[in-house]
Amino acid sequence: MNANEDEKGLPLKNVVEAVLFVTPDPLPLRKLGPIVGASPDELKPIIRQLQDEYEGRGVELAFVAGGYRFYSRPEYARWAEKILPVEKGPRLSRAAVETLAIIAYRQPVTRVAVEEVRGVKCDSVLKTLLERKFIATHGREDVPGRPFRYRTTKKFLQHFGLAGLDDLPSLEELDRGPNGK
Amino acid sequence: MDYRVKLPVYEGPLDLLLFLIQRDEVDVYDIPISRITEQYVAYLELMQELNLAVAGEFFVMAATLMEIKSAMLLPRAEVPAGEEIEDPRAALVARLLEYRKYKNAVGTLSRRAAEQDLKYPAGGDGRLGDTAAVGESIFVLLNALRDVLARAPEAREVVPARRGPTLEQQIDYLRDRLKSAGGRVRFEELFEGPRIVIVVTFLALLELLRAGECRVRQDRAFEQIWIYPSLALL
Repeated sequence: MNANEDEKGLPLKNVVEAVLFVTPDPLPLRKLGPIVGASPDELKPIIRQLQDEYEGRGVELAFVAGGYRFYSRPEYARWAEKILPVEKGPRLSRAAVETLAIIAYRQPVTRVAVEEVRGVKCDSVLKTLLERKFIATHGREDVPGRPFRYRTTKKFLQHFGLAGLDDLPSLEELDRGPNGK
Repeated sequence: MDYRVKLPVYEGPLDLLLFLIQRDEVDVYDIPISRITEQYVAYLELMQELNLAVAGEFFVMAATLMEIKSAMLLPRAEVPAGEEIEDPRAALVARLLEYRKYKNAVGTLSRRAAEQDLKYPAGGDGRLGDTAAVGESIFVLLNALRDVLARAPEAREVVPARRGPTLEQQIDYLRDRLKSAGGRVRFEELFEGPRIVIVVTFLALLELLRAGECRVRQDRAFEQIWIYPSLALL
């Protein structure tokens, strides 16, 4: 039996394609493995092959928030949006994105630490971000009062189209940006 | 009481300082502290004059600036010879630089979010919401109907209700409109003609919503209302 085929003789590549097509959330390799009965090492070249095959097509196999999933390509959004209403929710304010950025780069981090960087109170922004599940608590800091520490969530990565935290733009690079000096 | 300042541009004292530094093209590593302090305080006064609730952090920063300013005025002779003089501005500069990094990240992250918004996941991601309950959006729809009616041409002659279109006719009309559009249609584009036609068309729309043949979505509160045909209707 071919190692790339399952017991019914179906090509593993097609099995992977079908599973990644229906997954309701980006699927990490370690979860995909047990589902299709293959190791991450076996899956990597298969996924790369699928990504190549979808090159130049209306959809792509993207790596977002640590997992794989099919997405329509952005240039086709104006047709997609004709039949699929986007549930955007209220837009994140500048202050909210700024707070998210600080948490993303310095996590896990306490409210006081975020406020020190921003120079303003952040309780209401943090509350909104918690409610909308862009951040979550991550234990408590071992200092008097034992304040909560916060980290960013998978939803944060998905919202900003980030593969993972190491996909964040580098801060040094940003400081050399148009606003930097 | 909430003292948070809600200004369009400056969220906090660091934003104001960075603005002043950038506006005057001042080197952040060599801030002319007395000039910046003067300008900072002037802004603070203006904000108070405009009756904006100025957050306490702004006054703390003003005090910090004045402290630095007086430290800069100390005669150098008081420092023992050969000893490194620490620049009184160093801590503030470090804070500003640190904050500016995250401030710069906002633009990049927002651009990435906008790009990601245009990618639709296979399977719909729950974006294809359930049929919007008419009950939830009825007031939004009524409000939009009022706008449409206000723009409707003044009837030259009174059209007797019995000469208006029937509900069934307008239901068919709406189905045709949604089908030929091949997707969502702006709410207001569904309505034309005299008031009686608009009203019957509106009732027809409610009927289609109830039957699940279309859905209502609004981009954001008080923005465009869209009517999405159900996939079965297309």
